Amino acid sequence: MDVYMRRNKLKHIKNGIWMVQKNIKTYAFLSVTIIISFTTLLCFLIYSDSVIFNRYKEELQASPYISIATSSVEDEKEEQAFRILSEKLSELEDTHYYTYVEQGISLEHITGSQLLTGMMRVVPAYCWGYYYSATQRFVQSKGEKRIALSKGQAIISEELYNLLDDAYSKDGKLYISIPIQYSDGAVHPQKFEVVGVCNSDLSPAIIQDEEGKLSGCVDIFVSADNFTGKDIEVLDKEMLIYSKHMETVSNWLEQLNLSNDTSYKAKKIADEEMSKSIVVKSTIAIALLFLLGVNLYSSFSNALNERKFEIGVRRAIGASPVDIILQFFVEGLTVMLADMLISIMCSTIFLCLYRMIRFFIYHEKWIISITGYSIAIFVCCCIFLSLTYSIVFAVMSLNVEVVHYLKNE
Amino acid sequence: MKKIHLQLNHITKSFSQTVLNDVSLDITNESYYAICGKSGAGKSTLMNILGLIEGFDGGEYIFNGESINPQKDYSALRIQHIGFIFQSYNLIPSLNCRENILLPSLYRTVNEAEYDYLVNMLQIQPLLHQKVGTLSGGEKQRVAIARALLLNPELIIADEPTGNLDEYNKQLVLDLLKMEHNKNRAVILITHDQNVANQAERIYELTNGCLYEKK
Repeated sequence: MDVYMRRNKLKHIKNGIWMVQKNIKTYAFLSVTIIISFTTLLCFLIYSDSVIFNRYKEELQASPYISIATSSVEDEKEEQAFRILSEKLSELEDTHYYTYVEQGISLEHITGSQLLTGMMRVVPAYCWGYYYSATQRFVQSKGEKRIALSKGQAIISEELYNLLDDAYSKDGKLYISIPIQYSDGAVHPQKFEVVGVCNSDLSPAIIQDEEGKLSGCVDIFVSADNFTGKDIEVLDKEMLIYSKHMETVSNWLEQLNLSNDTSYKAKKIADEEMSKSIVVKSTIAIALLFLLGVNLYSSFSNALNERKFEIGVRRAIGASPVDIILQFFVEGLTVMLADMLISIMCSTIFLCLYRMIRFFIYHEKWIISITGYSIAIFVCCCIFLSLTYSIVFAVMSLNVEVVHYLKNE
Repeated sequence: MKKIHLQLNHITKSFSQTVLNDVSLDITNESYYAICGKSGAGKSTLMNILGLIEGFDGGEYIFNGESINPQKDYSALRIQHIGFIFQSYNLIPSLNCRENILLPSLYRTVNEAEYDYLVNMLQIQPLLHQKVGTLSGGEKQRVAIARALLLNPELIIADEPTGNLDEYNKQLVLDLLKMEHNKNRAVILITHDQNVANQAERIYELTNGCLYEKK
């Protein structure tokens, strides 16, 4: 043991930690209560956060900056609202948006089924991203999230791609013919080269019944450059908005009576629910602290009773009251902090086991989540208890009559 | 060796009854005193007062020119000047022999050469890593002596150092105390064994709370 030979400032710290090792049995017994209490508290905090998170997990995992505003092109008021919104968004900082239109497409000439249709989305030639909903983002099979389409090119759903056989290939490229409906009622097929494959809005996008008939809806993305100067039939017009001021955008959308899909409100509800739970969590933490505190006082007293002879000897040899206080303060703090780390490990193990049970038995992907508030509650409880009882332990160690505990005649 | 001069002047101490009554004693480096008396006479109380472990009710105690206040703590003086050898050894059971010997080094710097010297002289090298609970009485006393002498104290207070020892170890301890005294250390020996007391230069008797020098 190298704590001896030279007196230095770290000696008391090393001595305290070393004496914990020497009295490990006593402290292990004392630590059981601490570890159980800390583990219970941490498990409760994480569990309550995780329940809320899993209830809103799609919304919470989605970007808080995305909103999809919808306008029915038949309603002139909504069309005007769109124009007003565009003007406002143009002046807002950290905001990007684009509009796109949708048209329902018949794919009977490809699939032989009237029940399997396509949703053609006419987007700008270059988009930074596309969202099917506030929580579901378009992603291509190669992972690309942006859209870059020239005239005559298309990106299609993976399910539709799988239906296209060699008949649609030419010169190593894949083509698809889409019947485009125009405002005057005419339908003209237009050929597009398939340059990308993406995930679908619906899952599964295509359903095959017992008779082999296909039904469903697949997605096709084409560039607005294909229809410059042309008036195509439009089912829906939508605006995809990215803004760091989503609260402002959300208020405008409400004011303009535009339908909108945004994770912002759901996040707000989730955040409010988490904030309300702080009061409950804090109350339970304080109650647990109180119960643990009472138990700890008697546990530390018992631990100290076994050490009174040692304290008497140390004092007789020449240890000052400060030396004794420092030693027992470091011992108390070491035990409490070690117990805190063990309880974090135990909590992690228990929650992982719970997660596995939910996955294998209930086939549910349960996400473990903890908020900053819960971490703060746990850390504050641990630090408060550690410091308080280390100080109490240290002060109690002074209440030893040196002579009484030395073996006199 | 530094000089030491302790003066006990008319010291009194009472618990439920008077234990020490007007006790006076003068100790310097040249002192090798034995204090005898029956069990319960107050010898250990006198030792504790002398060693600044316990306070006193009346009188004056001058330690190297400093007047001792019985209400204050003098651990600093203890660690610097006094080495205790207890009758019951007072070794810490959770520590091994080496750790017990080196206990004072937590509170004051120790000369490593002094440690090596004591271990060799007291022949406790084989015992160093044993727990104290496994040792015999003589071995424990040697470990306790090593601890007491580690910091080169000017005053050695030995409370019944040979009480539980066989003849061989008894003589070993007495020879050691004599040797330490020859190095100009003051030695105060508490004993009720007359043969042990005869080793000292002066013998005092503590009777009815009073200290008398035996001639």
